[in-house]
Amino acid sequence: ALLDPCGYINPESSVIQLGSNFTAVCILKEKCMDKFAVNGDNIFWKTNHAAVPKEQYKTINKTASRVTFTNVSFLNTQLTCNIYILGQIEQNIYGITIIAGLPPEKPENLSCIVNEGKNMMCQWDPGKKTYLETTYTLKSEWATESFPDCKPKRDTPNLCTVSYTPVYFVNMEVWVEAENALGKVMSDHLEFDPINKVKPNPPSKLSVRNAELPSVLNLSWTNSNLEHFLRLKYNIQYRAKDAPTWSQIPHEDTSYTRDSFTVQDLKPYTEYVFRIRCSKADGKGFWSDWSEEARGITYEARP
Amino acid sequence: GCSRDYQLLLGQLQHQANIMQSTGMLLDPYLHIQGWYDSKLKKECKEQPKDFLSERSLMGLSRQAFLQTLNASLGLILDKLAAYLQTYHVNMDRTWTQPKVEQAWKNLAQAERFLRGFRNNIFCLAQLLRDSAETAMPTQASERRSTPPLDHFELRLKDCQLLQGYHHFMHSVGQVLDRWKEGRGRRRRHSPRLRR
Repeated sequence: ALLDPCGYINPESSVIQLGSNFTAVCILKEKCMDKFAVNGDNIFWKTNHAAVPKEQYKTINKTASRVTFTNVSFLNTQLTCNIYILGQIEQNIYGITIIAGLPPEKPENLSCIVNEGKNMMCQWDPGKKTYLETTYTLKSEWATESFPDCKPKRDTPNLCTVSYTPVYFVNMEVWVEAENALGKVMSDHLEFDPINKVKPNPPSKLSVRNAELPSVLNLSWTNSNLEHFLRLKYNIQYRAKDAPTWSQIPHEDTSYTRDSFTVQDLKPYTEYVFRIRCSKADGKGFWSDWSEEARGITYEARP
Repeated sequence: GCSRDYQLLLGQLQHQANIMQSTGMLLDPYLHIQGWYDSKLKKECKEQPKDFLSERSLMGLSRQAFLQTLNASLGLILDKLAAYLQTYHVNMDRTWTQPKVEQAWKNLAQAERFLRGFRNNIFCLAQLLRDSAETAMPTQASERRSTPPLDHFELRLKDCQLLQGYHHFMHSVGQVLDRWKEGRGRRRRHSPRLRR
């Protein structure tokens, strides 16, 4: 047939490991050899249209030639087997693609976070670049149930947001599987209760009201829904309007769930800025973002 | 796999039981969907004593038997919930449903996942206890009387009463788990058959 090649290369197109050695053999078909009066000696190799040095290949029999590449460093190359017809017309016999890369490394530093009201998101370090199409899959399960695989989006290959809503108070196991043409590897398994990975929504509606004393201001806010089944703790910070740094209420005073606080020892007739954030009281999980700031002015001191 | 931490599992089960006591998890969404939330029919939705074991009966069970009983009741509710949610998924034309009803369906779906997590913890705790060689007692099911066929309304009312009873049952479960936490749960190795 018109397009029936005059030979072929073994192996076919391949994915190989960077730094490894690669050998290919080109075998001519008898009918072509007769037709063009050529044999294995007439074969020459090219990579991406550049001639391969003669020292890298040799004839192994009447119909075949073997080429060898050591310590491969090219990533993606076209290897062709060619002959000269009538001693001068270059004729391509066959070609393969060689892609080189690395097997995936074990994903490290797997960590997960549950932003309140959202699905869990996990991220990991993929390790060295592989130069190959590598897929990462976030796996998750309970002891009695597995959940859908999480496939990262193309633009964020090392993080994934699961498709199901979190269920608190049930330990789950999470891990990452990395796979490409050269291998498959699994991260360490992470076991946790999603309740301990929560980043709460910040307290909202922070408001400031005057108290009788000129050195006191009363704060109040609305907690996130987590307060219904979690003990919370807070960081409350304040500063005089133009002060450069924040002062913080001592931890021990804000270590349990509450929705108001009296700030004392303030300067009279001064505008103060306040902000608050919360976290799970036992310290597991993440601090919320800071709330919106709220302002208040202390009364003037009585003469 | 399962956690091997007894106190952790027990703590999780306590949280789950406490959360599941709230009618906001199951009964209220169900009432909203039925359109009974703000109606006189709500008063008809009274729990039936025979639907679930009393707290007293639960207290008398060995830990394994208690977990098996809890698992059986969860299974009952989960089966009903799954079937009920199926009617939601089948009825794709929900343009007419009010936002409150739509949210109620979502709450029920989340409750179903929550209950599956509950069952996961029961499985793990039962496994832990089995490994600590605590012999299992046959499940003490509550009395299931055969009932005459019910019409559609009666079926819905029956489900409503079941959910009402279930939230109360969860309160009893919470009480038992609290006792376990204090180390006063029943650890009987060979549990004699309960006398009626």
